[in-house]
Amino acid sequence: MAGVYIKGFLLVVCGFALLGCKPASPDQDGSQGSRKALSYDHTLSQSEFNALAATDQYMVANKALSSMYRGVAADEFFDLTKGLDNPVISQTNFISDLQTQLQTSMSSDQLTAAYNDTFGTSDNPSTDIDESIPARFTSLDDDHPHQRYMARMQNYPISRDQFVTWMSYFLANTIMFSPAREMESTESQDITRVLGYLKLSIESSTPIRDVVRGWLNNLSRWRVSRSPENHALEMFELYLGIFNDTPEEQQNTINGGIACNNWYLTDNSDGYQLLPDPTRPDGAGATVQVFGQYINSCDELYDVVAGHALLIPRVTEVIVNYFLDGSSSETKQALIKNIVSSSPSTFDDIFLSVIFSKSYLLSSQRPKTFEENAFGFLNSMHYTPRADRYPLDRAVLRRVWDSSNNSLPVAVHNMGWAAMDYKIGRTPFLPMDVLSFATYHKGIREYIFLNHLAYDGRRHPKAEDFTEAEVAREPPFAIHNGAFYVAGTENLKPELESLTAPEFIDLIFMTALGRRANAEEQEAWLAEGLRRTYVTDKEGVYQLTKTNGDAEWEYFTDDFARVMLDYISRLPEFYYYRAVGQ
Amino acid sequence: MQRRNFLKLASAMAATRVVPVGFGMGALAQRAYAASPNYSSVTVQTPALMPQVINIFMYGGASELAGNLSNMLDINMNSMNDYSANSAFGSGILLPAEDNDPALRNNGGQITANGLWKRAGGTHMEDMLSAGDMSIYRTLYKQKSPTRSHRESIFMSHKGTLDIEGSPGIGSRLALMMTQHESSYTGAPLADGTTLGSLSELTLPFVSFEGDSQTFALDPENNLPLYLRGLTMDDQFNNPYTRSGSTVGDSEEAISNLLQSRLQKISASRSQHSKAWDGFDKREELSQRMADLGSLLEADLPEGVEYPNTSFARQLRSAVTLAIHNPQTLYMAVGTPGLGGWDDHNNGVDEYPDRMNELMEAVKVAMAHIKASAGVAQTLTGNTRTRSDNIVINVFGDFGRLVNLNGSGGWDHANNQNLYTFGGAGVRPTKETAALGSVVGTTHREGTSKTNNQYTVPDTDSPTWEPMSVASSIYGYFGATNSPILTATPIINPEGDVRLEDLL
Repeated sequence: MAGVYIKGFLLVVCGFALLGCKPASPDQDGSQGSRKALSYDHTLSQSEFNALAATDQYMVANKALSSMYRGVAADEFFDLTKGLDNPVISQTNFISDLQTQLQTSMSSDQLTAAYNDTFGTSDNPSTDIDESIPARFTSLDDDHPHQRYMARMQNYPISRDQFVTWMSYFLANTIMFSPAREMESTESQDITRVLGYLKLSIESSTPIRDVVRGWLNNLSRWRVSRSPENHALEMFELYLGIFNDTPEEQQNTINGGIACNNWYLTDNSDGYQLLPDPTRPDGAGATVQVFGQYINSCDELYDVVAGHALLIPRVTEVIVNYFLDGSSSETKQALIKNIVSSSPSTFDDIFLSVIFSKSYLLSSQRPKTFEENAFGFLNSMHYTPRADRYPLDRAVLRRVWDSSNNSLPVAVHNMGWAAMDYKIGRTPFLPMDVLSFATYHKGIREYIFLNHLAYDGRRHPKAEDFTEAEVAREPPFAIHNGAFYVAGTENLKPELESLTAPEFIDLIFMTALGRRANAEEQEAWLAEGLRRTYVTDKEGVYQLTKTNGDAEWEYFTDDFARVMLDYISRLPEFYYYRAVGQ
Repeated sequence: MQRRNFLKLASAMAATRVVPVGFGMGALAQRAYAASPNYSSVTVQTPALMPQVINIFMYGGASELAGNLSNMLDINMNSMNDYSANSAFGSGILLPAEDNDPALRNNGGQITANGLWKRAGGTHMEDMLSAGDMSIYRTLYKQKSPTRSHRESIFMSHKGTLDIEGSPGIGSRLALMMTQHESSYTGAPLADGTTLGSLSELTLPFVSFEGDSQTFALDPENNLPLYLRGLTMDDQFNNPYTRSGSTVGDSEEAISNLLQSRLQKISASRSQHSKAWDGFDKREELSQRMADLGSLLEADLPEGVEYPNTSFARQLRSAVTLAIHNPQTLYMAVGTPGLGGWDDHNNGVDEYPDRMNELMEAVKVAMAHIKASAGVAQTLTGNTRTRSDNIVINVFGDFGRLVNLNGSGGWDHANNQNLYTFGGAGVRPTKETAALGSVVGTTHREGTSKTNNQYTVPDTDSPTWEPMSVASSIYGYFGATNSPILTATPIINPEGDVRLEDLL
């Protein structure tokens, strides 16, 4: 029985894990929604994607995925056994597959397996076998509950579940839903509350109007707005884009405050709770007019806001502004208009339309956020936070989103880009002042590229860690290789064996920069590779050097990649998404 | 309203009020295009002494009450909630103070001799007024754009203009004015007895201690040289500009050579990634510079100068230290970190007075620090600072707040606020200098009794300024004789805004 059990268990886990490193399809049986590729005029179709040059296809694929802090590795996108000079694309239906997968939910078994693979599970002492799964993410801080969402985002297969988690995180960093941890009246529970609310709402395809309506009377929203009049003012600004500019708008705010005047937030000593004020009349105490509607209570004000014609355009605008930062006002307006015209109902509708819009994927060029850049790269490099020793997740995950007494350059709050902190959410443009940018550069160069090597494969867990353990067992999760090496070794992955050194140089550039090395860079890196014996000239063919020594030190591939990545980290273009043809 | 009515309303409004989103923003952007200042129209006289300005911004918009209890009896009589209740501020809020002892600030009457709030920094302000180190302008009043929105109000104050989208900040306008009139600044005396040479040789002229500040937003119409753009620093002069890490052995030379060659070849397309280019250029400069500055904070402070142990005081200390030791730092932006923000919709009862006290206590120490530097402090150029009366500190915020004490123990947004301004007797114009030691402007309460929407407005015979007048005054310190030009916006504010001096 035990053997049958573990086999079934592993089937689930490995079935999940096989999906984990590329945009593979979750179980269709557990799906929801229409699960069709997008067909709007403003979104990129598979045929339009196919018309791009192969390297641009790869760049665009990673632009889409890295927006969600994910990436696709070159050795999955291309058939590297055929080299890179004339790349052969192995994922022939990538864009429509991706669009479909983001609309396809995992089955409950898959979700459980994904959860266990991410956070681990302990052994069941009532059975003879070891059923424990070591956590992929081991160093999570309860004061920063969004770290658990980031762990899911990183580890769940590309699916609607992963997408919902990312959308929740994204929205919680906008002015519309920020838990504003920087404020005295908020705490980490507000982060949990907002992320949980958004995840559950979006997961169940709740219409945007209802998501907003439900949020307006939430304690965490009140902890940010804090008084009835400001609650009304912020409702109008955040969800309608009405900025109290005119006497009429100011009167709406004043009247909105009156409508909510029988609610108040207790003070610090009473824990900032939202309570009805028994000393005030029920409701507004009088009929007041807001946006031409007569209302008698705060609930009715919420209805007015959630039902307002400007709500969907405003929500769309807030999201578009992040993605099209740096694009012209006309370009932004056109996309907003196109999306609003498509009558979006859910957040899925808007995010899918924005991420897969031609104006974003093909034409936009804007600074990448640290999360987009670092995790896009790491995911394109088969990274693992779960090493065979010295777990890497503290360096590559926890420290990024730990804003308490953390002065490390890898922490996003030191780049003016804190998660969950700001009352006004993250700005729709990335802070690129000298201090923020220097921190960004230092963080990505030292922590992501050079020091921790979460991607090369040498420290990736290997089957032997379990099969040759004192109490041997099959690996409880799928073993996967790094960017260069077979898991736990310095043996080159079979799919890279046929690459020449110039092709390997291109591989690094395409993965990190979305373009090939140009002639000058090829020449310089070949020369440096030869000088440092990373590259061997075998009868006129440049190959990665194989030492024929100890299997642990068979290749210098990681060292060679590292010097190139150091160079790449110093290029201004590395910090930007590029447009096709740019 | 029943649920079905809400749904009916949603569809009805959708049908009748389909306003193209972004219309307002688009219109503002258009205005911004037209409003880019014509810097060459500014007339500049060489300053007799180069000023150094530290602008401290109270994000969230502070209540004016710390600096203005002159209407308190009337305010309390009309407030929905009683200020003098024990659960609020106690009966002392309505009574004159009997002493000016910071140690007894919570005791007894709270209205000081100048109508300040004793507990809310009033004792420190009274001290600074007595010493002639401070003025309080009680009528910084937003009328031209009465918006009570944070974003718009913050941008207006940081940019010194009503035209907030795509327009340059005060620091950038100042820098562009100086660039256009560089000859007027050549030879201008600095506070250590040296003179200003080429602007391109200035060390750290524009600095932000509050991150990416709108005060240094660039002018899309006018290129500002990299050396005059705002730099960001943290309050410990930390140095993330160095490169370390598990490095690449002796490949550094290969990397540098290739990089140099590549950047040279693609420099024509610099504008595509300009912020990263600028960041790398500045990184190189700051890598060494920050090592020099770090030691300044380790030096002993003058006797009797001891900053409070708060985040804000540390940031202020860093800004003042930089100003003292580098007279070439001309303009700095500072926030009020660690004080919790000034958007006191709730809990103002518990938080606001102490926060104001912490702020004013730190500023008082900063003024002592500045005054002790003359004839003593060594500057980065190896000279001794000769003057300390060129450093101006301004403190203001988004806007003011209503005076009705709301049900959550706070105040909502309103349009009248105080400007607290300190020091700078050597660079201010005549009447402004004479106003040091004084409270300027008078107010009265307006709004319907026992409702939330009650606020102060300037008395009809009181001088009144827009927040943009702070910017206009700063340009004036730097020699602009027609500084309203730099705050003007076609159509909506064609005349611009006067200096403080002009209405005194």
